[in-house]
Amino acid sequence: MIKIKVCAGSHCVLKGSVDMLEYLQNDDYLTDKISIEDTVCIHHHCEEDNSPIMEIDEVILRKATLEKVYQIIQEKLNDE
Amino acid sequence: MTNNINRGLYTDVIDIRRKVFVESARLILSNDYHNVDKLKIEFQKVPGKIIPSKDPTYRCCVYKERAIVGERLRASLGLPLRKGEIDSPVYQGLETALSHQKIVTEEIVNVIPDACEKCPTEAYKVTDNCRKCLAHPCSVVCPVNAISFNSQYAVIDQEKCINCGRCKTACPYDSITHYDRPCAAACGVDAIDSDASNRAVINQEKCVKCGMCIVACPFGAIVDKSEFVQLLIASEENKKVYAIIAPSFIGQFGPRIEPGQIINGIKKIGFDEVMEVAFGADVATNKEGEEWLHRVKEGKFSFLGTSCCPSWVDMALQDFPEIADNISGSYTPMKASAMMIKKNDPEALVCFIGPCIAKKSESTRPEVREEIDYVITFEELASILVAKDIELSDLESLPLPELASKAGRNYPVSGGVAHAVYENIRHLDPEAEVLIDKRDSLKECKKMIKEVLVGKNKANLIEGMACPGGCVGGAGILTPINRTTRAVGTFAESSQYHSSYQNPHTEEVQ
Repeated sequence: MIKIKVCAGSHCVLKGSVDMLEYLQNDDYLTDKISIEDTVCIHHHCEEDNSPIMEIDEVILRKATLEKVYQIIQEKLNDE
Repeated sequence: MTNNINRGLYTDVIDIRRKVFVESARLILSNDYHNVDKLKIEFQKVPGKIIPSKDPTYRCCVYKERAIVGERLRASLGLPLRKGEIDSPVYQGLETALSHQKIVTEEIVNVIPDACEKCPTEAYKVTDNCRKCLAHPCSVVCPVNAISFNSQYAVIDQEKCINCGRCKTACPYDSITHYDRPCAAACGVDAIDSDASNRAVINQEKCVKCGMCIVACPFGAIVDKSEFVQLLIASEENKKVYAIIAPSFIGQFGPRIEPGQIINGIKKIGFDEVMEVAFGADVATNKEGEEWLHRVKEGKFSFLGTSCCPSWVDMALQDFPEIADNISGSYTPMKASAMMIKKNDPEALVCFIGPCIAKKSESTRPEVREEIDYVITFEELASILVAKDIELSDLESLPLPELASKAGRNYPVSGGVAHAVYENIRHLDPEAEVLIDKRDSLKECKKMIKEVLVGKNKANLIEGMACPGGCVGGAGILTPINRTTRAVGTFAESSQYHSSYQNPHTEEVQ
């Protein structure tokens, strides 16, 4: 299971973090491959306009986009 | 319902829109708004700040990209678009935006001509999936004989085609595609016209300001005007400003943000008091319940239509003038909430914060403008918070005055209004036979009215909402519709009062 945390502080929400959370949660292909949860302010990394912030298997991802997240997930799945 | 791909997916269109809001708020917050000359210089810098790259990403050149951002920036200050007038500077008329006076007019929604990519208008087309089959059901079902066959494929004669779509449904190879301008497909009142060069233009006479074209356009070519700049100036001038917050606010700013943190954040940007519009919803419910009894039970009206969604009401009055008297004459929840505030504090300014673009337009009408001074969206509120560097999750949770019932708090979800009115009617008259129907999105609402008028639909209490899912799907939302729908329901359960008639505070507004 790939562990994903999505920052759901209000800065990151404006930048679409909850949209990504909802999208990934409803992606049937990933149901048994990721565990995903929302969290508040991952160590305040968003401060320098880095939002939205995500954490994938404990690695911080700044300026996260669905595109980047899908690539990272796919690479991890390929490595398995 | 229309194609929903642009809802719930964070795209570059949304990114640019929100960056413009944040920069626009920063412009006012970090400069002295009396210093117009300085602001003009700062204003001119913003498009370059938002589009910093040397090479274009989306359009033919960065200059065009920046010019479009300039137009968006003007709209965010409430200024009219320049619409290609190149002989005037981007900051033209800036001084008119720099006061607490409302400057937006009813024509809230506009196309930025330079941003419109002239998408072709609606058509059905045959693709190379076509096998030119022996059965050719496409031409069998065509009512206007528009389909013929060349050596390989079926061909649709666009001159004859009436876009009924029967051929597409009939084709066993899925070979016929439906194409439409996303803006026109999203519009429930056919208000998207074309100009001489085939760009989309909004027919302001027909437009009901729901804002669905704004969120549907994949080029971000349609903007609504904002008035948060005037609001921020009112707060700088130490005017007493009340925020009334629409019931769909729950969950908008993130699943972990508590309602009390949102209240605190709103106060931190300069509001004195915060009140839930769900209170005004209870007032509206009480009126509509009585109206139903008078008009439908005792009177000769066959049905009553709810009144809280201005786009739905405008569509109904415009397309079905014969049912004008069937639409409730109650105040909208927004107006009822503001009336309560202004009754106790006549000097106060009131700002509606919600998911809705139509409310911006409603607030310019003579019967509402006395009560409502500003309307901003959740998206704009969140942008102001970011511009002020306020993170809601860092804030302490403030208490929310318990002024609303569960029924009032359920208003923003499709069906919530009719259910609230139903509870009230049954309280006043337990024998009353209330048959409810409700629809969301204007095309569906239109269908419902037609069904009721021809007697196919026996409903006598009908609720219409212009946005998908209800207000929770408005153009100014931050959070996916499903999530807000759930969050609103959970929050409503915690209310002190169950039905609108049980809310004792509503007696203060008559």
